[in-house]
Amino acid sequence: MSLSLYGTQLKSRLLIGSALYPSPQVMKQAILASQSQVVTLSLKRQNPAELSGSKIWQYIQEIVEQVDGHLLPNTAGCKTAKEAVTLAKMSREIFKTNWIKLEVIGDDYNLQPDPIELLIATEQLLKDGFKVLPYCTDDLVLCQRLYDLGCEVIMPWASPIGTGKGLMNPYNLETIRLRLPEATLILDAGIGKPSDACLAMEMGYDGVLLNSAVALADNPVMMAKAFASALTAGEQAYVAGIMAERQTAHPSTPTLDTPFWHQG
Amino acid sequence: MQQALTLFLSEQQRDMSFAVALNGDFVEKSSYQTTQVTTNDSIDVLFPIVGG
Repeated sequence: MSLSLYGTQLKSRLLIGSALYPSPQVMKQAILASQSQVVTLSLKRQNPAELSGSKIWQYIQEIVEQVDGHLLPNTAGCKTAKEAVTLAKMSREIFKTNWIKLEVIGDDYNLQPDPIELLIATEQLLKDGFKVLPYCTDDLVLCQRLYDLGCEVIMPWASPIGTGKGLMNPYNLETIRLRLPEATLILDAGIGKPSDACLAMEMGYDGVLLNSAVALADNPVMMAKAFASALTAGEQAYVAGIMAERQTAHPSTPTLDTPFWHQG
Repeated sequence: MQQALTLFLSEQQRDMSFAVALNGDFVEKSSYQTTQVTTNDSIDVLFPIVGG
């Protein structure tokens, strides 16, 4: 059961970030352990004396080649549609991909996406040939608008970036799944535990994008494996069909002919 | 633009992957030679970095 992102088939439903790991070596081991084939990265200004960005970029390239994977550049730090569009174009030139994880932040405190600027940027980038993967809030109408513009992939947040709070509003997320059955939905940001990822997959989400939950674990490599297992479990549960919740107890063991059933 | 980048970037940085914006607008590599830069223009040079 593979994940399709704008027609590209991927074996894993996990998309993983490249930031915050204790070392490049741990990053590589964790990404490999996660089995992810999509690695996010970014662009930034560089002090002329600092060359670490070049090394880490080569390192990420090697990892992505090893897993036959894909780069997913983001527009982190952008606050307006204009900034995000410019950064997306810069990313496309460097990373040679028209995929873009579109982030337009509207609030510095909780890094909440700005829905208005996000829609403006999405429309411009889609017209310019980008495959836009918009990072957005769990607002059904916003997700519908993004889908209507032509986004095949939509990435609502679970909770604010880096909080590890998990799924703040499962009702909203389930509603988006039910109302947009044809969209590829990736739960992005705020994932803390493998059970969060599993829950999203049980809802029928197509994948999960995370970074901090693995990178900030005491053992990122082991946590990456745990997330890979959680996604598989959740996906299989969704496909298998989860039983309907019931209000009253029902005995699992047949009561007829159980010992002493006629007594008392 | 090409001249400005030569002045602004170290030799090692010029060998690295980077992308450029002039006054907030993307400038393609193929346009560096023909893009005019004047006083008070703002040039952003960005490099790959880890990200989530």
